[in-house]
Order: sequence, then structure tokens, then C-alpha cells
Amino acid sequence: MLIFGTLRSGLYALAAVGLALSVGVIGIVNFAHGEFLMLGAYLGYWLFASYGVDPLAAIPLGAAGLFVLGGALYRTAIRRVLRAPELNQMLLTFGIAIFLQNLAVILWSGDPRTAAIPYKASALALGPFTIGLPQVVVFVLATGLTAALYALLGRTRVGKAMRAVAQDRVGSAIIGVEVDRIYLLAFGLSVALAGTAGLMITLQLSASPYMGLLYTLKAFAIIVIAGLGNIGAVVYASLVLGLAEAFVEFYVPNGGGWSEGVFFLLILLVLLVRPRGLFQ
Amino acid sequence: MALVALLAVLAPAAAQRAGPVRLGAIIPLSGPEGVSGQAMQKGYQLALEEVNGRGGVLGRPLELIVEDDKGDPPTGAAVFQKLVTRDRIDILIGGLQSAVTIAVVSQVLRQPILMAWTGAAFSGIERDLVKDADWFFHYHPWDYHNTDSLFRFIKSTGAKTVAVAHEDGPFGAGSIDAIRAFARNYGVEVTFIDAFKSGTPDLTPLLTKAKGANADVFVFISFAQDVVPIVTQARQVGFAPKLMIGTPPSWPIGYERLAAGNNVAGLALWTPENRHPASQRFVSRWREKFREEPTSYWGPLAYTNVVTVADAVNRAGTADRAAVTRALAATDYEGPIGRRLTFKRSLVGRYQGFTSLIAFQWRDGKQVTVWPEEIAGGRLQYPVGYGR
Repeated sequence: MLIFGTLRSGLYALAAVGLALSVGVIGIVNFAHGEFLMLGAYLGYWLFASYGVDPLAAIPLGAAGLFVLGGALYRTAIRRVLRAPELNQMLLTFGIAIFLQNLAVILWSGDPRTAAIPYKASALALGPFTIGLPQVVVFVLATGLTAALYALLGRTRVGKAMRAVAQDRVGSAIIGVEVDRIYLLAFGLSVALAGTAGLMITLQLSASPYMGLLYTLKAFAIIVIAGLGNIGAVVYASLVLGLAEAFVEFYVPNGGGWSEGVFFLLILLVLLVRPRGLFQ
Repeated sequence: MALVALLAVLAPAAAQRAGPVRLGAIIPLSGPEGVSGQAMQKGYQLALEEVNGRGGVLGRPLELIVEDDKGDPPTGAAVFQKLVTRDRIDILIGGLQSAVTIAVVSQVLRQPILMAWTGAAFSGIERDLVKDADWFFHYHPWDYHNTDSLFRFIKSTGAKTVAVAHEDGPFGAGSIDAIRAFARNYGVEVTFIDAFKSGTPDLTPLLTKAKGANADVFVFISFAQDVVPIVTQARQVGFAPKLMIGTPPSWPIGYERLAAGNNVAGLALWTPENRHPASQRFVSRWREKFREEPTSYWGPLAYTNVVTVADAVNRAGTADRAAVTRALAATDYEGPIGRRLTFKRSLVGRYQGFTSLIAFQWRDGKQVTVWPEEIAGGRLQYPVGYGR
């Protein structure tokens, strides 16, 4: 269960780190985050079904496409509600989520779509255990991308500017940081990361218009466990969620039916016991 | 003056006679079972063309208003209200998921209408909501019929033990008591039963537990969206029972190209390989009209639904509910499903149509019928020895 829980946490981290970026840097609670992941999954399906492009090979194109989409959405909609009450931000992103869901139904119908990737059911032997090859690939890739994001935030000028804006928007503007450009970059990056997580889902599962909500909720649980805005702790929080789910599913009778409630329970516990997050 | 008054009274009645007979269908065109609902809609199209091509019903056109319940019970209840109040339908048809059926039937109990219902396998509906109802005709077998077919099939393979994973909604959980009872009756031991939430992306913990049960046969009662994670992740955890049997209402698009899906068995009312002449005619009309292969039994079942209702209205000579009920009760129809459809008493229901399923096995993207033997198009591969 340690292995299964750890492997699933890779995808969770990739899905959550983008949301942590958008909450931490821009301060916007994006309820459409899972829908960008859904768009990534459909993009992966479409590229595979139409042109035989492996979802792994599609990552640069997919991430770039979703970055542009995120940037355009920031310019046209998100920017307008940044100074508005938080309720307006939530309603706007809810609206975007519903719009994208319905757009997906119109474009691809409600059917789950499966990309029959040849290695979808492949496994690796690990001593007495066998584990899914796509899950290992996704875990390695997710860990690598999350590490790259940390490196970007910690070592580059633009990353340091993002952290500065996250700490103090006005102060950053005074010392010459172009706050609006940083927001655009952060939102685009957040959407690109969600899209990449979606491409990874194509490797393992099916794409469907309604898959986004589950990942939005799990991503929220992770950033609450990590502590809102604490991008660095997303990997650990994902691990907590992944392991908790795997243990409930394995050790609790009919635990599979309960596992989707684990993240609610974790949110509740963290908010009651340590509201600033387990890793803050 | 008197003539004008008489015309004023008669005109609406005449207009009503000339208007269409209206059927309303509630099906999931989107959501997890959208693939089945869309197959149903195509089945309706074929049936409507045929019925209206022959002059409609009672000399009037047959009209069908289809509403998408999205697999969501409150939506099902809401579209029912729209169908009866705004569209003023004569008969309610369609239906797929049990949870939505519960919501719709709860509305019908307050606003009675004749229901010629294709879906819902959860027998709690029959027991608690439509027991002895004279307005509810049920085409699809109930869960205990399905379970009886499942265990007769398992028994025919020579398997002694079975492990079961089921989704935790009414569709999956509703079968569990029946599974235990039928397994006992057929002398098969159930070594494992566990639930999962439909849509869960990672089922490896559940499948690892099922593997530990070391059963001959693994049965999964799931929706279409769960099929791919189950069959791929079973291989990834090295779970290789002698046979895997899935019972989703439909199989996901693209499954036929999934190598890991080969040799998995399924239960269905019908497969496209059915050799009955009416089935073959149906398949060829489907190919001609939609330029695709029919893959789900919901298409021919929906077709059967409309054709038999239209036939009952014609035989009744009126769209009046009591007369159509009597006519529908006397249905004796052999169509694309390939078996005779009559309505008989079930455990507690008054009008039950089909009462058994057939078994097929996926072979190189095709559903080959393997049981019962008299209609089998190929021999069951057992034990399969699913590779990793």
C-alpha cells in the first residue's frame, strides 16, 4: 500500500501544484482547475486517436497550448476580478468550470474516451510486487516537473519575482516588479501544469467531461493540508492524501466506497487541528 | 350561430385526434452512461422511422421527445415534470440507471402515467416502489435475473470460487444480497466482496485485495468509466483469475482496441453477433444509417421499447392509458433482441419483460457470444491466463 499510495501521490502533486501556484502567487481560488486538467486529458486522447502521438510526447505541445489558453483567460477574465470580493472570483471560476464542462460535452459527447496506448496495462516487477508502468512514468515525471517548478521559484529571477509578489504585491510593485506580468505568467503556468496532469491521465485512464471536479477537490484538499500558499509542501501533502486513501481502500472493508471521502476528512481534521496547514 | 358553437366545441377534439401521439423518453445522453443513452437514442430513431414510415399510430404520427437525465436523479425528476406538464406526453418510455429511475418513479407515484421502462436493474425499485403497479412495464431483467444468469454461466465454466467488486451505488450494491443467495444455490463459493466508488482513478488496492482471495472468477459490477482502470490495473498488480466477467451497462468507447481487454467476458441482453434474422436486419439498418457498428444492447432494447409501445397503441385503438396498458400486457414480440418478449409476473412486479442475459467474451475487439451453448458463436476460453 505504501507503493500504491506513493505512486498515486505523483499525479496528485502535479494536479495540486498548479492550483497552489494560482492561490499562492495570484491569490485566486480557481474552481476551474480540474477542468483544465480535463482539457489536457482530451488533448492527449485526440492527439493519440488522430495522429498516434503518445501522451508523453505531447507534453511540450499540450503544456504550451494550455499556457496560452491560461494566459488568454487571465487577460480577458481573471484580471478583472483580482480586486473584487472573493465571492466574485469564486463565481467567475465556477462559471468557467461549468462552461468548459459543457463545451467538452458538445465537442466530444459525454462518453468516456479511452486511448488504447500499447503499454497502458504494462507492469514492472519490483521484488515480490508488481506496479503499473504508466503509474511509475507519471510519478517520475510529476516529481521531475514539481522539482523543476521549485527550481524556477527558488533560483531564477522570475521565480523570485513570483515569490516576492506572493509575499507583498504592493512592495513588489514599488521595487519594480511588473506584477501584472507575473500574474499572467503564474496563471498560465498553473493551467499548463493542470493540462500536463491531464495528459498523464490519458496514459492510465479515460477522458470524460466530468472528471475535473474530483481533481479540483483533491487539489484543494492538498493545498489545505500543505497550508494555503505553501507551494513547497504540496509534494508532502499529496503523499499524505495518497497514502491515506490507499490505506483506507485496502484495510477498511468496502474502503473503496469510503476513499473519496478521505480528502474531506483530512480537510476537516487539518482545519480543526492545524488550520495553517500541516507543513506551514 | 348554433353551427358555429358546435364547430367551436368539436374543433379542439378534431385537432387533438389529428395531432401526434407523444412519447417522452428520459435517458442519459451525457454523464457516465452517456454512451448507452446515445445508443438508445439511435435505437429510437430507427424505430420511429419504421413506425412513421408505416403510417404512424392510429393514423397519426408518433412523436418522441427525448430528455437527457445526465445520469443525475434530480435532473431525471425535473425532466419528467417538463415532459408531463409542458410536453403533455401520452406514455413515458426510456430509462437506464436505477438511481434516476427511483427519482422518476417517485414523481410518477404522484402524477400517474403509463411507464414502459427499459432500464433499472435494482430490484429494490420493484419491491418498494412499483410492487403490483399496473402502470409500470419493465423490459430489462432485474438484478436477481442478472445474477441468476451470471451464476448459471459461472457454473457452466466449472469454476468453484468467485470474487466480486461492485460500485457502491444502487446498481452495484443492490446486487450483493442476490449474489450471495444465488452463489449458495449454484454451489459456488464467494471468497471476496468489496465496494468501490465509480470514477475512482486508482483501483489497485481493491484489486490487490481481490487477488489475495485467489478465486477462480473475478466479477466486476461497474459503470463504463470504471472498466478500463479495472482491466488494466488488474494486470498491473498481477491479478490473473481464470476468468474476468464485467457487467457494465455498456463498454467504453475504444475498449475494443485495448489489448488488456481481450478475453474479458461480459453479460448482456444482446450482442451484435446475434444470428437471429431480426437482429441481423437491425444491425444492417444501423450500419446503413449511422455508418458505425452497434456495440451495446441498449440500441436494440430502445428500438424494441418504441416498436412494442407503438404496436400496443395501435392494438388498443386509442392512446387511453387503461386500453394501452391492456394491449401492452398482451405483447408477444420477437425483434432484434432475438428472443420473445412477453410481459409476465416477476417476484413482485406485474409486468416483466426479459428475464435472462447471455454471456460473451471479448476476442480481438469483437463480442463473441459464448453462453448459452445453443446460441454461442464461439467457445469460451477458460481458463484465460491473463498475461501482464
